[in-house]
Amino acid sequence: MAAPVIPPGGRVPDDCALFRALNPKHYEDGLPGDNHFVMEQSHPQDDGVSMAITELITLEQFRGLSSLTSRYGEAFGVAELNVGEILEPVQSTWISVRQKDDPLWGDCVSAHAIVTGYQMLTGASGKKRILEFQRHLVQLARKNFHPPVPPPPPVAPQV
Amino acid sequence: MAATVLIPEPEIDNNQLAIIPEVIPGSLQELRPDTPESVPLTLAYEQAQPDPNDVLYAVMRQVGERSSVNPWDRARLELLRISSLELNWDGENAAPVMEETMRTATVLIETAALLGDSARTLDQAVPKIFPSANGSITFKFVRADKELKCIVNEGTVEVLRWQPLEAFEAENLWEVPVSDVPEHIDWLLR
Repeated sequence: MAAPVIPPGGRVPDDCALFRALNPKHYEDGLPGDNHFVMEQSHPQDDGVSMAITELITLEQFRGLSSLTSRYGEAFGVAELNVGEILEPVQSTWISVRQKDDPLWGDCVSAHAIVTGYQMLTGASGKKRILEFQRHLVQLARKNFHPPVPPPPPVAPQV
Repeated sequence: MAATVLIPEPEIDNNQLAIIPEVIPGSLQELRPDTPESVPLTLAYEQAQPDPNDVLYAVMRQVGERSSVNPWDRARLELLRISSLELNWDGENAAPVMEETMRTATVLIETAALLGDSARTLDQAVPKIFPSANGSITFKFVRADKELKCIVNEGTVEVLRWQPLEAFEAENLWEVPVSDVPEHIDWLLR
């Protein structure tokens, strides 16, 4: 499939998939958890949940990004989510998936995207919707995630 | 083999302990160092090293010494582990859990244990407990087709309920004191 053409800051098409890096400290019983998808009403408007557009970066490239390995170590877990499924229950809100260059991603700078717009959901009803959306993302992530790759066993020294 | 924990015995005010009832009689089992299940619990207990004079810690320690397999004791030990998390415990600037949050969480778990026991659904209502990056503690209860989430932040508990489990939309978002949480646990157990 040809790589999608997404203008800088533009919406990522519904048929695209996204990678989400999983902090190893945030698993819930070995599965993606709430802390992997933290969204607060107070977050800056142009910020959001950091993702990677799978059509523009491979899993190996993603796992090799130094900005991620420096925080999560080598071969961290990765969730894979479809944009259409992400947005399906929040179509009537400001939530969207947008491309956003990340200069720390080197050759894959344009593969970076964010789930954003939740900051526009205000008050108690907005908070409720964000928590519902967070649970939705966790459920999607649990359906399709690449677990951390265990390090190879140490090689016994030759005697 | 389980290692020995050598911590000075704290002085405990029995009045303070009144809010944390003795673990349900007959439900505890002796710590059995040789059983596989007891190993991670013992490790978790040893790795958590908050102030030994803290009342909560004293209670948790008592639990840790007496039980290895009761699911509520597992939950209590997880709370103990969470109480020992320090700033940046996740490598991404996560906040530690404040003392008031810990006390509210303790009341919540003991309330849930009592209600679960009285409803004879003890094991079915044991929550999963997770620390949040903002310093709150999340309790997730799932029973039959119901899910109850309680987010404890200092003296307040945010409560969300889903039924059925596939539902996207929660019934409501309540922000309540911990004393109002039992009605939501009742809903779960009904």
